[in-house]
Amino acid sequence: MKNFLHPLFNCFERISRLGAVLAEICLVLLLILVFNEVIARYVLNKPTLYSVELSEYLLLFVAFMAAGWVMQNDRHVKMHSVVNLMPEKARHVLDISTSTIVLVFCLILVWEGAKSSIMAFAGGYHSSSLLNVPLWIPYAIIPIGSLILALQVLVRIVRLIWPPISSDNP
Amino acid sequence: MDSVTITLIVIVGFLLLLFLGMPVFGALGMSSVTGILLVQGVRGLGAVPGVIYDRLTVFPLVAVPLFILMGEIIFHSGIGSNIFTATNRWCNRLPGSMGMASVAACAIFSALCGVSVAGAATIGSFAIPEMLKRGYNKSLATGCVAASGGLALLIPPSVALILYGVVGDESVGKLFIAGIIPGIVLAGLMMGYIFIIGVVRPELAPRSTEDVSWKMKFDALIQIWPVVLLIILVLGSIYKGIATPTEAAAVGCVGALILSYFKKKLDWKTFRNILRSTINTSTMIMLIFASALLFGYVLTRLQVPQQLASYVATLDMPNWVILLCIFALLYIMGMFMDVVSVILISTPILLPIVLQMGYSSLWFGIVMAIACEIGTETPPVGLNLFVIKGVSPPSVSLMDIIRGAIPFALVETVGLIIFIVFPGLVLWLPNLVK
Repeated sequence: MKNFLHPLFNCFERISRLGAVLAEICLVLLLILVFNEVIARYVLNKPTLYSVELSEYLLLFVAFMAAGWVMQNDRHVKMHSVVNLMPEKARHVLDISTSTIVLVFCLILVWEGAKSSIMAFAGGYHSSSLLNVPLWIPYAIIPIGSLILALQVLVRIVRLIWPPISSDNP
Repeated sequence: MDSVTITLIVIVGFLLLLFLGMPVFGALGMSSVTGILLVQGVRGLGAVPGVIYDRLTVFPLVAVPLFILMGEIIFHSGIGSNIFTATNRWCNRLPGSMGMASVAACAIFSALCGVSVAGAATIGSFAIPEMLKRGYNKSLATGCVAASGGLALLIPPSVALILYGVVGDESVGKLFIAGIIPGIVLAGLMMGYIFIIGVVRPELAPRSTEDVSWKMKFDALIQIWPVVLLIILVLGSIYKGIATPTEAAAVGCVGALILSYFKKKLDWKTFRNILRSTINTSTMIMLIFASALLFGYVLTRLQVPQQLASYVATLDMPNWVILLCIFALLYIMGMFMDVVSVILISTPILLPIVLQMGYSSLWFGIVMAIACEIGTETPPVGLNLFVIKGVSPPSVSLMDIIRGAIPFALVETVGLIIFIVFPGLVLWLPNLVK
């Protein structure tokens, strides 16, 4: 079973890393966009009409796309002080159960987010600005980011239950 | 089920999940989702993506990743050592000079970056070994950096103030301007404390015997002029109302990039590292923000803030008692939770009470940031304590750092009381800006 899961998990982790790289690219774009707006407005006196709206979408991207990668490195903010007082075994069981709850939350975000994005697509909603962006695209960022996160949480849970043998660990 | 029971389930559920070691975003999210299910049933969950989407895509929040980026660039540029050299040379002959120089360097560093750990880590990594070499007491040397690193929460740019501004519906630009004077006053109080230690117990903070010529002093100043320029550029443009904080952040990032390019500290690998750690911190903060939005949404649907505010109004207690309770609560929360979570969770609940008492939300943001700052240096979850432990030589124990930080926490509490008694100190500067 582990042999079957292993390539799959590697694939999930690659997706998480890809998400982080995309978020990095979006961060650079965000910087360029806002800086460009400053130049356009204060130096050239020709404010752009798109940069505020686009930067808000990019922010959403930065916020959600790397969530899985942060989970992969176990860097999400947690409170360790009480858990650290517990015995090893209890901590292990707790980690599995809290991760499962996190997974449920992520799946709710994926499900509801996908529904709202599909609804926006079917209804042909557009943003009320000059850009007239089809809203299903920014709406889709939340469920996609949450899906990457959910996959990564799943990897974490399975690895906690069946710890990988270090020799076949990539 | 009545709303009181549901409120209790949501809040107790959140605390339980948090204490069981669940990531903060998950604990907030899951307890909120439970609340929504109990109030509206499965149908209510349809609002979840909308709540996050609508309040996350706001322009002031764009400043969060940008200021984090600016801080990371500055952190990797190595300018921190120049700042410490400059403050150290200028304080040279005074009692407790090196400790005072560390506080001043942290304060200057805080004006360049938005999160509290960067300053403590950067300045601490050269200031602490230097102070120990000089024969400083271990606790004093580490405590002063742990405490003054927290000034980043208050001295603009501050990610904590941006988040407060977005949640509490207050202008981020005004909050930034309002943070300047309290930041300087707190840094001054800490330096004053070290000065007094230097006079009363010189064995804890031996005086410098070196001679620093005026030429060396001005040479050190010349080394850091780009930093001063960058601070003036970012804060000045916000103060003058020329640029929004988000735009100032972008300008600051570009300025910081140019600075580190000329310091020859910017290669492709460093740049990738900068982006990586920025994304890491931003994602952590933004995910907590997203789920705190859900938490706030549930509590508002349950009318918790409104009910609580009107309940407090009927208590007929003097204002200072209520404020005391509020700050006691913030202290306790700050001991256990990270600053971002404290601000995001407590603002929607506490702000209506404070507004009803006739205080301004601008003032409350600043005093709340100070209270949270004290939380970063008190055990058990004082983040700065662990950061300082990480950059100190192995001979320094965590207990040394905690013992060192406690007097500074008291000094900051004195500062907090000053700003509570004289709100004018906080409000004067932002009121000059129209």
